[in-house]
Amino acid sequence: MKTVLLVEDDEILSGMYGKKLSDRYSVIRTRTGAEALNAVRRDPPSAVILDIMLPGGMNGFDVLRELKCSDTTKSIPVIMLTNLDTEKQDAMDLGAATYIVKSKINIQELPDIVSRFIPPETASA
Amino acid sequence: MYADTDLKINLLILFGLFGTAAFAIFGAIYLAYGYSFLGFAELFFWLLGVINFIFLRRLIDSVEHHARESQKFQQAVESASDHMIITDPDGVILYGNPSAERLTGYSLHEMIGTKAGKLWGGLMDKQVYADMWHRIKIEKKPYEGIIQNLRKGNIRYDALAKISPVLDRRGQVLFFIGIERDITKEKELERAKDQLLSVASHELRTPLTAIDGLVSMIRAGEFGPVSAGLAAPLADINSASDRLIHLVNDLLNVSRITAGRLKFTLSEFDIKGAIDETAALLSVIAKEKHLHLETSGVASVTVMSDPDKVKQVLNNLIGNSLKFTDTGGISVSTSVSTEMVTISVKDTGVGIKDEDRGKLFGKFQQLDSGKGRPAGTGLGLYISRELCRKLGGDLMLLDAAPGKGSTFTFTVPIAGSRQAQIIRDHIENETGSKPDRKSDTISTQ
Repeated sequence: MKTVLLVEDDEILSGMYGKKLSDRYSVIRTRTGAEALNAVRRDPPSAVILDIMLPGGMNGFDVLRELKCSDTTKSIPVIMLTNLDTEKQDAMDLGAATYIVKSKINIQELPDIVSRFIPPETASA
Repeated sequence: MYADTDLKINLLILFGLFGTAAFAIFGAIYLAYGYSFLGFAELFFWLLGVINFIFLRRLIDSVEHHARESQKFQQAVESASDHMIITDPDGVILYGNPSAERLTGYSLHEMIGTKAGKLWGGLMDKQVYADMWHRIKIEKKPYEGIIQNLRKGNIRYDALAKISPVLDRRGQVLFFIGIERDITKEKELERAKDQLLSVASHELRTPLTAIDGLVSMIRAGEFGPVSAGLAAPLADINSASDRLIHLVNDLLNVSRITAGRLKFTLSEFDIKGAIDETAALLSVIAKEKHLHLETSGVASVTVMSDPDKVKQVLNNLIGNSLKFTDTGGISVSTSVSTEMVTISVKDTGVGIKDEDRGKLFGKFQQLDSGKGRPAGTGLGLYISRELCRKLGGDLMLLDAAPGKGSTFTFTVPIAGSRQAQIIRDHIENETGSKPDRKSDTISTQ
């Protein structure tokens, strides 16, 4: 089963998304940007699901920028999952794979959206 | 004009002094020697002295009056709370009032003889200064706008500025008068309000997303079997939380529209793709209600707009049609003119009464459409029309009658058209003049 890194500071949402994706992926959950970067460096996941507003002085944009400027991590698709609806352009410019507003999707669609950004040969590995 | 008056006054004073002196000298000779050796001439100077003395008195009065008047002006200018400066035709400062000293941090001594642009300019785009200079120096018309300047010590301030050229009789610039009002506080307040709204809606959405998602998962049996009796209340919780999320989203949209802070991302895209995508998402609801959702009348046209906003409008119109239609269905079609593509959404629903037409686009308007329809926020059409207008098009009700369905249309500029260019310039100007506030809205808790 492929690994997906979920960066979400809200405990309830993190648990909910984690459970929803657990049928298809092995989900690693982190709360802060620094934890997320450590997790990626330890064991690069197949995709990162990334919130924007994060505690600890490093927001989602900082994490995205870090991931995209390193050769070892820049090919990992980053799916922005946030409740801010004005930052799409900036996130896409920085190299995000897609930008999802949490309150505008049905949770049931989430696994399919994530699968779309994980290359087919690795999705079922 | 002032120079003429000054010359007259000086000549009269000189003449008066001369006359008075002659009167005194000849008077003294007469008193000392008892003899007037100049005869008529002495009488003439004596008279001249008396007349000039009267003149001199009146002149002094007039000069004092003049001084008092100009002192009034000076006091007014100096105690004005607005920053005022006067520069020569090249922008070199001739005068600045105490408010200008306070606002800019430079003393009058430092200001005089220096170009205004050198002291506090340079913060904005070069083009802004070029446009400003062109307006006042070449067109010779007053410039008015919100500008950002630098206070001494490189502290930024926002100001509402008006710079007017003062022309002589031949239409040449004599000097410029610049008046500025510090609006940094107002700007900060506006930013704080904006940020509060963003954070509040973000904070409202987070728990709502959790409620909505978790209930949806419970209903799908992901937390174990759900008893038959719980199915209906869980579905109600789901639809209620959906409504709340919509309401929060709509309220945020309305306040952004009202504040002129809606953010647009323009691109060229195929309108057919946007329509097909929205229709595909809504086809689930159409199937549930046994309605057809037809898009075969849609042409492939490249438009210039904000694709997400266009999809939002489509979602609103098709969603409304699905809500208010019980039999038949909805068909979406396009027609193309030189500048715009018109998108029509036609349904076979309940239609709209004549007297209700005027209420459609108001805020919080919901028409009485009978029982059993899911409630909306009453903001959808208002938002959709504002979005269309901001993007260079419009939205209207084309045709509707009770029981016979309704047709809404909206227009989007075609890529490469004149209208597309106008809107692109307009939106880029608007976003260009507003400082990037990203760091404000995404700060961490």
